[in-house]
Amino acid sequence: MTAQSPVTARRVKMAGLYAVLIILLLVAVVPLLWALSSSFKPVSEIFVYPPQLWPSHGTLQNFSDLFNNVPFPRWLWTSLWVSIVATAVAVFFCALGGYAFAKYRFPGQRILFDIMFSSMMIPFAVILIPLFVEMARIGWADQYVALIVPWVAPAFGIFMMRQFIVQSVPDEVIEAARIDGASEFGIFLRVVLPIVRPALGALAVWNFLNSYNSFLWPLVVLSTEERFTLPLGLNSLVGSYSREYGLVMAGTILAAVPTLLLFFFLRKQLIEGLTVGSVKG
Amino acid sequence: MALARRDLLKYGALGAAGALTTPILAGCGGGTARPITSGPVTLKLWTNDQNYIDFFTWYARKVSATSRYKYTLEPLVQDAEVVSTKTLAAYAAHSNPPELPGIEISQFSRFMKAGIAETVFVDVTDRIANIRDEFFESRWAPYQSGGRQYGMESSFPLCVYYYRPDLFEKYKIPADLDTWDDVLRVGKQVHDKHGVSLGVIGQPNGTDLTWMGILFQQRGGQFFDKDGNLTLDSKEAVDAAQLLVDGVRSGAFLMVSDFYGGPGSAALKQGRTAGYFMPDWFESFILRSTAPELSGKWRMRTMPRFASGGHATSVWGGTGFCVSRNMAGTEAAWELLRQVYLTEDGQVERFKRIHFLPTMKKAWENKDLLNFTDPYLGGQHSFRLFKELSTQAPTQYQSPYWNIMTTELAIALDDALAGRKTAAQAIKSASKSITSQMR
Amino acid sequence: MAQLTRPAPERVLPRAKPRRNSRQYRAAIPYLFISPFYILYVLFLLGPTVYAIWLSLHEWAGIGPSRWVGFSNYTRLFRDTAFHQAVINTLWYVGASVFIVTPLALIVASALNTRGLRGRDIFRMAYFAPMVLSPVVVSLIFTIIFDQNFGLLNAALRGLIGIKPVNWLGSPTWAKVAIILLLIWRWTGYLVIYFLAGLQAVPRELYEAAEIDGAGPLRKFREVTVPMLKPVTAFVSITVFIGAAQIFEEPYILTKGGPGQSTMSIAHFIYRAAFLREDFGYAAAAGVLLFIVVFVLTRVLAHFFGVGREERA
Repeated sequence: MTAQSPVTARRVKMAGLYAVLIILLLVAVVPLLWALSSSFKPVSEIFVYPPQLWPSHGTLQNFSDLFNNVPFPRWLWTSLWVSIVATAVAVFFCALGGYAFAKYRFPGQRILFDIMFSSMMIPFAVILIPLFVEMARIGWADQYVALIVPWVAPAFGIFMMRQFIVQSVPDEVIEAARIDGASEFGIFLRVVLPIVRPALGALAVWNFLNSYNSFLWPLVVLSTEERFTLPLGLNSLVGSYSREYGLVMAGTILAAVPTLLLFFFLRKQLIEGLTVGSVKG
Repeated sequence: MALARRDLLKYGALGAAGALTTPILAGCGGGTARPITSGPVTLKLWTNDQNYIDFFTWYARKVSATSRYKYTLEPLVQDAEVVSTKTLAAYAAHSNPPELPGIEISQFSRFMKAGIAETVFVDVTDRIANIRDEFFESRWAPYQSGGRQYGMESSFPLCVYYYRPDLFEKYKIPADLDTWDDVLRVGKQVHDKHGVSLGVIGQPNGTDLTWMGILFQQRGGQFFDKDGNLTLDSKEAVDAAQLLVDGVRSGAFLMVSDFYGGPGSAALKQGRTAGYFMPDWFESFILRSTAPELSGKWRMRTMPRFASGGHATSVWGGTGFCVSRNMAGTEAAWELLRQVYLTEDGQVERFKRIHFLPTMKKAWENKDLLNFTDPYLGGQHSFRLFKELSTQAPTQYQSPYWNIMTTELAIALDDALAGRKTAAQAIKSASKSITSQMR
Repeated sequence: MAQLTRPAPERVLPRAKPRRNSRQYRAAIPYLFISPFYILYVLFLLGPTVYAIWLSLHEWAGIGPSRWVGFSNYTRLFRDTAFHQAVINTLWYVGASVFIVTPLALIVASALNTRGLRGRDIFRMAYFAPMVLSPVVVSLIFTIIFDQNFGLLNAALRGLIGIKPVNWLGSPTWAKVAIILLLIWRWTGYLVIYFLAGLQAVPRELYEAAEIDGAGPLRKFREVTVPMLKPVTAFVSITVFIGAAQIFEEPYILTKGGPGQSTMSIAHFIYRAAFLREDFGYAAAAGVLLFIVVFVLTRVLAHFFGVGREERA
């Protein structure tokens, strides 16, 4: 074997890797591109056959209609701030709870974990009405708090953080910080969180998506159109026998932007975490 | 440890308390609010069609000028199924239900279970008693429960045959298609030679009965009778289902998986079909919005008929507006609804502004309406044709089991259209299945 | 243990507050940390859940009085062919999610984790993109892809292999395949994020040590990645399982449960019973059954992955 061979072999492997990854990228992205280009087409052109990826008569009409004829900015704003607040709080509470389950031994831990864990398996359609009745009783019907408060410590997030903390945070580091006199909460804040930043980012993305795309619960809770979130708003454009497809396309594209932006801003978090360096075991 | 046990006990107690309160609270009824008898009143109007919002808002201003009420409307628009879900949830939680819910016809059965309609809607049977005959009875029927009237119909969804004379000429299709048998025969030839169909249907997919509903009722059948018995198992149903099967098999009818989305629009815009048998709303909602470039190329005529008997037209669709009872705005809501829907002026204006056909007989005599021409249909006097058909419309009866019927029949039709069952078998098995679930 | 025993003029960390009864304080901390969840659980989740169980023994239309029926909702479920169908369908979706989507995501994540890969950000964002489209548009797009006569997929297949048009959305079998394809498209890239987050925490030294031992990519994957990633893989597999068992959106938006009921999921069955048929007791019973089955199977899965046994290695 000549000295060149491993390098060439590696180049070929990398080229193959890129090829596969690019094909997957196209599969993932082409439908989105079609939706994007359709948002710039007049309604009558969206469904030509065969479907066209490039608009033949590009127009901004859908977008201007979106901003003039329906309260799109308000929908967007509502969805944004509700989701951001809910996510910020949820990430904190989930990390806290996950840390407790991961790194502490306490009586009743098994049962408490099981209860939390099993709450993920309750089908939502079954508890929707009783939960709404409760909201109405405490005066939270048609209020934003009902969209946020019940969901700020989701079991999924706690379970997730527990697993990530178990995997990435060695006990030794925590012990060392204790010996140094740090408070428990201080350890959580200054030792654990930095290590699991990628997980926090992933949790933030999950929670944001969930909150942002949530449909059934806001539908039942909100009765004033002014308070509509984006999914409710977009769905109101899909009537019974008619569908405002131009608006729907434009609205969907714009609605997708915040999530993509969030993902973009968190990408560093999602890649880098402080790995502790020492090999476990 | 003491701390831990205490905590668990505390949680347990709280849990029990939480568990007990919810059913108790759920049982409490909302009290009757003091009715508003005059002055400013805000009414919530929930519906699936923005057109209703626009029209009610406009007409409410007119009414407010002369009425003792001053109306403000708070609208909410979502698709038909979802708006009914939300309405039901609002009633269940006694949480701000709408004074004027617009219930789409296929959703009305959800309010017929366990006397829901009686509990939440105003029974208007007596209120309309003296004007009932001024309206077509066939449009009172779909919004009754237990023999009492609850909803007011918003439109008259008469079915016609929309077609393109230019394509008829191009493919040498005889213009005098009289019966469905003619359509099958000619359709097969045209499809074999040119790949063009004479009608389009959407795949039932377990939910959509539009075309079966149109043909079955035209043939003279009904899904349920006046007393709520299932009358699906009939020759008429088999004939209608058979027509669908034969149509798709021969190519006379084109079947698409999504009639309102990409595939359906493609069929329309590519000229893969020379005609549609659809209710009146098809023209404004689909033809005009999806294919504005085809304006002027379409015309409308009566549907082909069943040689073995039936009606000249059919019906499919509709929305019934009800009034919620025991609310502060109940009487005000009734007054508004009465003015908008039960007066000749309201009916005429409704057609003029949002093109929904009147249900009041007198309104059909209105000169302006009779002179109405539709540019999309090349200036045709569409209203006059609808007028002839209005007296020949079949009556659609409701049932609390409408949803179950829809599912089972759509499943059976899917099987028939795919060749897994014959049309007769499909009707039989669907009827059996539905009856077994009607408890 | 947290007592400060050496008074020192200088501290590395700021002076820790003196704590009385610090042992009890330490013991209370974990309960404090998990309390947000439990407060919310008791306030909002527990009541409705218990109520749902109570409701499953009644017949209730959502409005008006409820009627005691004992276990007849459950016996009705066992005889209900629609429910059987929903269970079978859901099993297919769960199987596809756990055995196709999850491993695929792990593989793609590993590929993206390759050292020296350029454009990782772009790939990740692109794979994530399917999740950001609203269901209405996704359903539109996929009927355009899967329609029998006008669909892109059939056009491609006809061009490439020359086969007759497949009735994707009209055939009970193919419709399920279509939904599974939709699932793969929508969820794989999303799961990649979690796996990548986990992969980032696997120390490079382990890979280097394995390389020195002469391990190729496959062996490195098997001997370093998989074991180190077990907690995260456990998390992803279990939550994918739970999520797939409750799947609603994909079948609903693509085929609305059709043709017939051949793609209807259990969650859709429950929604239909509760809201379209005003049969809340029946829906609650189905919900209870679903919960029990998922709970039991998840315990099995958790046991298999050793969740709860990772510490004290």
